[in-house]
Amino acid sequence: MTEDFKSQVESRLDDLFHEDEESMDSMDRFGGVGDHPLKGLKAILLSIEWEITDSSMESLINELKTLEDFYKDDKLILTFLRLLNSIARYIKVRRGKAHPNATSLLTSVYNGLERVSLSEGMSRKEKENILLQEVDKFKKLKEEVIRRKKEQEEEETKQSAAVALEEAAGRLTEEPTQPDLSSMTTQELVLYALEEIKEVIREEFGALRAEMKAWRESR
Amino acid sequence: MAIINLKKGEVQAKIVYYGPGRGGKTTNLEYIYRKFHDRIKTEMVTIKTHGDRTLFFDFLPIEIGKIKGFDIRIQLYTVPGQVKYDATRRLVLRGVDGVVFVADSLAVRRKENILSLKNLADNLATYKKSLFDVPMVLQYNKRDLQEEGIPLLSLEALEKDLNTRLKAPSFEASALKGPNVVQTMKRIIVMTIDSLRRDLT
Repeated sequence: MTEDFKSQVESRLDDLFHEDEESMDSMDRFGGVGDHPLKGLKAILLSIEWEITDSSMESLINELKTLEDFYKDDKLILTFLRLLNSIARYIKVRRGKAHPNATSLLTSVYNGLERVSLSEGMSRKEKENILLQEVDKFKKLKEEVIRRKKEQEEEETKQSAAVALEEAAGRLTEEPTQPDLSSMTTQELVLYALEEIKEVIREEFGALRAEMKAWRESR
Repeated sequence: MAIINLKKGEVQAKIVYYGPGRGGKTTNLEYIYRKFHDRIKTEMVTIKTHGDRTLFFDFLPIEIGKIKGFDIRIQLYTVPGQVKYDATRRLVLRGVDGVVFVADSLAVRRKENILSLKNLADNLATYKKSLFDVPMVLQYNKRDLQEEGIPLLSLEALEKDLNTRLKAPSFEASALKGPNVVQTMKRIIVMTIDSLRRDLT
């Protein structure tokens, strides 16, 4: 391999990756929010760390509040901002446990808002369509969050029922230690039987509670 | 370690995109894949985690084709940037032939850039390599955010923090929008292939 080899690699790369390349000079072609009122919101959204902190989410919610006042007469923009607010509050509360799509929905709703706010000549109908798409995504996420929560609770119920069963099974296997009933006095037998009945009643109530909980959640 | 089979005339090199979390490593590969998918004719493999972050790594193979009888294949990898995935980063670095260090230009990420470069040096050291042994290109990403009025580190500050001793080629770029993404990749590929050529001669 020689220097010629290097130049041939360069030439092949130029062939493979030509025309679509963009230099930094082309950067000024990119639109931006400039001095638009959304500038602060975009800056916060872009600066939010992967580790979502209370302060970054607080800044986001405060900025949204300011913008809601600013756009109080524009119902369309206001709806975008309220969607963002709901998602931001959800993420703030749930943090690491928030649904994985929540942060991407935050970005998606913002992008919709930016398109609607910055696109000159966009008809009201087009703007409403963009908003409706984001509202749909929001509804889907909400349903997904509720579904996941329900699944989690069901899983917990199942797990606690399984633990109860295991404990019961454990007791049963441990209880070949059943006492020699024939050697018991009548009084001892009654006391033993009472304990057994109490244990059965406890287990029955436990199972009933679990069943009622599952039934309530399925409604 | 590159796979060089002189008999079969094959050269396969491994290039790793390294840098702090959320710096744009995956976005670099996604941009390349999106723009040139039809030409490179390979698939990008990516495994994401909760919150859309890279869990293990991203992988994008590129077939450069035959040059002087050698079939050149490049494998682009990214590492997960978050601090807690150090073991994965170390594994991905095994056998690396070239590195693109993707620095985050956001002013608030200055410390993370420096720590990530140090982490790269530490992890290379486990393979008995140093930052100076491996072909490297620095990319100062997210420069497009300047227009949004978001506080960014100046190029001088980035060079001072990361490149004073390395003196590696550096590009300001926007992985999201494209400027200098391809230039960065082309530069590291050429440097890596050239380094392999020098090792062989």
